Amino acid sequence: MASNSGSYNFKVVLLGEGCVGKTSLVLRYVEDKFNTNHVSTVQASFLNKKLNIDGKRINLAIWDTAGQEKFHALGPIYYRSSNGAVLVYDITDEDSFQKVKSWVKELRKMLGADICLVIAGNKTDLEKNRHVSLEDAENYASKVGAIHFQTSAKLNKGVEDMFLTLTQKMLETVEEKEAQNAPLSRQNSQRRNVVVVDDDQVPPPPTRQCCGNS
Amino acid sequence: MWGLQYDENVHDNPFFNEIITHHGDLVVKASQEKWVICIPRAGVIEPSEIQVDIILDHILVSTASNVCFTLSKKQVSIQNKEITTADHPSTPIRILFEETCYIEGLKYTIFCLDRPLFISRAICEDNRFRVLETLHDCIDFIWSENLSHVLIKIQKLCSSFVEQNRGLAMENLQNQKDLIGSLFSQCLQIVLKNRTLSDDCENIKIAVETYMQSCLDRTLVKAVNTVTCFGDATLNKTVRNCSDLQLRDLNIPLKFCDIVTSARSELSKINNYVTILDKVNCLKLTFNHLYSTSICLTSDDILQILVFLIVKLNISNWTSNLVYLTHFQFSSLNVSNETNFLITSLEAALEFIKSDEFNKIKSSQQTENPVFQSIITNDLTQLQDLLKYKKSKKSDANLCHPLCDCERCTKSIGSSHNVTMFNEKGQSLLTYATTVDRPEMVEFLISIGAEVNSCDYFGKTSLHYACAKGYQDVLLILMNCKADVNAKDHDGNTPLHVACNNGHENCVKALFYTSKTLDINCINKYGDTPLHLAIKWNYVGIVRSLLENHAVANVPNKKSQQPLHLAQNYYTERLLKQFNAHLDSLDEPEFTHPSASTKSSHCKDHGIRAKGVEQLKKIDLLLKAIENNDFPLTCFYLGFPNGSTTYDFQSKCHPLCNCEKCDDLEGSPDVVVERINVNTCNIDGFTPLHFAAKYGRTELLRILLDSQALPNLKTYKTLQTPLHLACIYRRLLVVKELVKCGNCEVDTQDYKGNTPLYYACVKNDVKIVEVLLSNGASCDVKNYQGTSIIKEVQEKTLFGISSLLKKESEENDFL
Ligand SMILES: Nc1nc2c(ncn2[C@@H]2O[C@H](COP(=O)(O)OP(=O)(O)OP(=O)(O)O)[C@@H](O)[C@H]2O)c(=O)[nH]1
Ligand SMILES: [Mg+2]
Repeated sequence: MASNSGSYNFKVVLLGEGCVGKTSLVLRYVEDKFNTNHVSTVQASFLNKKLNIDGKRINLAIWDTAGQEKFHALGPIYYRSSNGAVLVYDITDEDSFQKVKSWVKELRKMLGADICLVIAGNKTDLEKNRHVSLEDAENYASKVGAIHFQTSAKLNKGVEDMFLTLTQKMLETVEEKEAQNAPLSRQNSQRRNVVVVDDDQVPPPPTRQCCGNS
Repeated sequence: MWGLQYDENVHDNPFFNEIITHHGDLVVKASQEKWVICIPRAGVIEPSEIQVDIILDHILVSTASNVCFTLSKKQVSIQNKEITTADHPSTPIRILFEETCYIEGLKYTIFCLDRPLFISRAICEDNRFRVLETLHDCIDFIWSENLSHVLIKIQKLCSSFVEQNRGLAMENLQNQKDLIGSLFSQCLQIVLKNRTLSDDCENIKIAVETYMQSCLDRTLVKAVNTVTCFGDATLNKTVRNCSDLQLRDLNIPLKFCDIVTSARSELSKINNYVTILDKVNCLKLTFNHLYSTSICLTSDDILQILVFLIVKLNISNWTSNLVYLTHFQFSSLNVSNETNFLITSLEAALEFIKSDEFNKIKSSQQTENPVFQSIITNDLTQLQDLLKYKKSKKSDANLCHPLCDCERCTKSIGSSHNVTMFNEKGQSLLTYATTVDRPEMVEFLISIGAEVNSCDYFGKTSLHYACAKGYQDVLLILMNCKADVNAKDHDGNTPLHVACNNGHENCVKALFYTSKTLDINCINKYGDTPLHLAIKWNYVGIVRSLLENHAVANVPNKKSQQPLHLAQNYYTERLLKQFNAHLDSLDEPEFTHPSASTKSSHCKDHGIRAKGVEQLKKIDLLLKAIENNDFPLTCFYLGFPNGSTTYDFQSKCHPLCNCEKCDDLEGSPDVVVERINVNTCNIDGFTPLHFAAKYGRTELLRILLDSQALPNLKTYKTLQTPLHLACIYRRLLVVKELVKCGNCEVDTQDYKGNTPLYYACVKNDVKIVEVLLSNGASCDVKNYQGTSIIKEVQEKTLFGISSLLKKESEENDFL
């Protein structure tokens, strides 16, 4: 059967300065050792991952964004209607951490509290060159309501944990919202409801809902 | 999702349930050892078949390579999301999806398979899960669901929709969406009428929607083209002006050259399709070409390649395609799927092209030569120095003869600093100065004897480049210095062709102003006239200019396309027909609502079109004067005797005054010579009477009417009469004046089918409504949406008006 009723669709964007390891993180997460062999094409910009957390089915669509500065202005096109964002910085590069802060500001301004944030301090295998103190980063994260993770795409440390925690947080957010206003919240990421059409019942009017485009 | 992917909840799958309930230890082990559990999708395996050995066949022990073993020690290989077994090497089994489970503290991976492994049975095509990817798939699907009888019904519904909504293109986007959306509901109703709910409900919706789009064919595409035509014109202008963009300008590594080429030929087909599904599929295939490389492509690469493809492809309606894809999907609810990613990527690429960042990229002009360098830096003194320096030195050069142009001598001159020198593209200094928009340099170079009409290796003159880049200042200098306005480059393009292709209306107009010998219907190597090019790229303004200057609209090009065939939106189409009445019979019937078109005869409906730019300019000045309430100036432009006023418009405020008004007087003595007909209209079809009505110039209006101004002329686009405007802008006195002029039609319908009374009611202007009603305005006229005025008024709860109307219609009934 084709309908994926009862499953959640979450969109997650990866944001961060160039070369901090966004692409590496998502590749590491989605194309684990077993998988690298059967995916012939390496496409890093859009990846799907299905999770099942204690019976709740989640479809993660992970969007890697363009990192070059000249594309910065395109950010909103990519992150609109996202449920979660992974903000990546390189622990050896202080500037990349500042960049994370500016992304947080922008996201909170544009999407408010609807979006779940995690901040990833990547390249922990280069601990000896660390330029961003863990304490600062964690303090900052808790201040802005984000969860902080230390990751190494190279050594596969903390990557799965980060995405799993993010997913759980997105689940909570959506469920809270559903509980608050049950009939209203099915805007973009929620349970996919199959519309039942009876013999003599008129199908629902076409949705005027925006498909993620303003 | 479009082309819905297979999905099922494996925890409802009997095969998986069997494992969970009877072989829990296997799951625990799988979690520890990172084994993968394969589950045949629901329904492909009989419950009785689910035995232990079969289950062991379906548990894969992961290895580093793509060959691995099952727990039953059988070998399989995994590639391209397909599993190949030794017993059926030619029919691999699809992995429909992969799921990572975190359940009760365990973590394991599941592959859901299209068929069971190692169970030989006839592979029945019908039984395979379908992903709808094209129109073809959809029609097949409808047949396979025994729904073929609905096809003809949907088709009929669509044809009558097209009949009834001839004005679709003139509607705004939201209305278009609503109309198409309700058509979709109707189509769906036909299908679902005699049907119980099916599992494949989503697929049915997709199939129906896709088939509906194919029935609407170009109608819908053209409507969206029309809504987006100005956006597309702007985009095309940007794109045309950087058509010499190279891969390296975008930092695209050369190793991508091959995939870019194949992706390009795929994407070039996007306009061959009319359905969203097919267009999305075209995007997907394009991306697949990109992914076919072994090099890892990041979002940056993809974006840059897309930008490059858009610039290089000959497609003129990207915005329209994007709007169509994003706004006209009704059966899809899901936003976070791959389709969405494809469309978003296209959107991002288009957005980038429109941004300033892209402007910066445009191929940079680089040169080593100091003379050319001085032109770039706009350093006139240095340029003079360099050329002077060479002049003295030139006498030393051993030329066979001062005017010799043998190879040796040319070479010695060519490589030297001299006004005739040229760069590696064969561009003279003058041409080069033109390409970088340096008017002073151009003037200087011509003054020291630069050849105005010299060509580069592409056969392009300086004038070509001025037109290509839209540099009007340079163009005017060149025209002033006798540049050949009809020079052809190696593709047979004249400067006018180039200006039209690149969307530079300023240059097109400048060419008309400055040249009497311009060959407006000249054809290039492909048989295209400038009109062909302007139409193709949606430059409505240029199309109008060309037509006003008597461009011929029925010249076929080498592909036998007449300009009309290239028209992608209703604006250009209508312009062409307006200017060439005989074209009407050529193509589909003219757009206008059937009831409106019964009395459609352009000369009577609309004002007299201004002939040529000069007259247009005059009528614009006249209308401006009306708008500014400058009564004397208005009379002056109309050539009315100043009987009604004592203002002496021939005299300035002061003999030497140059205030605006006096300037106008001075600058336009020839304007007065040829007086403007009172019924002349501007490019949008507005006559002086329209303006007088709109701005409430009652006195002027009276004079105009006295001077044979026709009261019932309509504007081009909105089909509104002066009375419409007077009601919209609530000009009571004007309305009174118009209705009493004798031959004013009170119930004319505009492009939406609304009468003046409608507007007066909506504006809640009781006085005007009274005047209209007492002059016979009817309150039961329905507009093209089918709403009558009374209904509208009731909906808007305008009680005062409502009672007025009721009284009126009761009286009528009584009579
Ligand atoms: N040592 C180490 N290097 C890493 C790690 N993650 C990524 N890198 C390296 O960092 C570089 C950049 O990684 P990418 O994944 O391309 O970074 P990105 O953020 O996607 O960069 P853009 O696409 O340019 O925005 C590569 O050379 C990676 O090998 C890590 O955890 N440790
Ligand atoms: Mg990247």
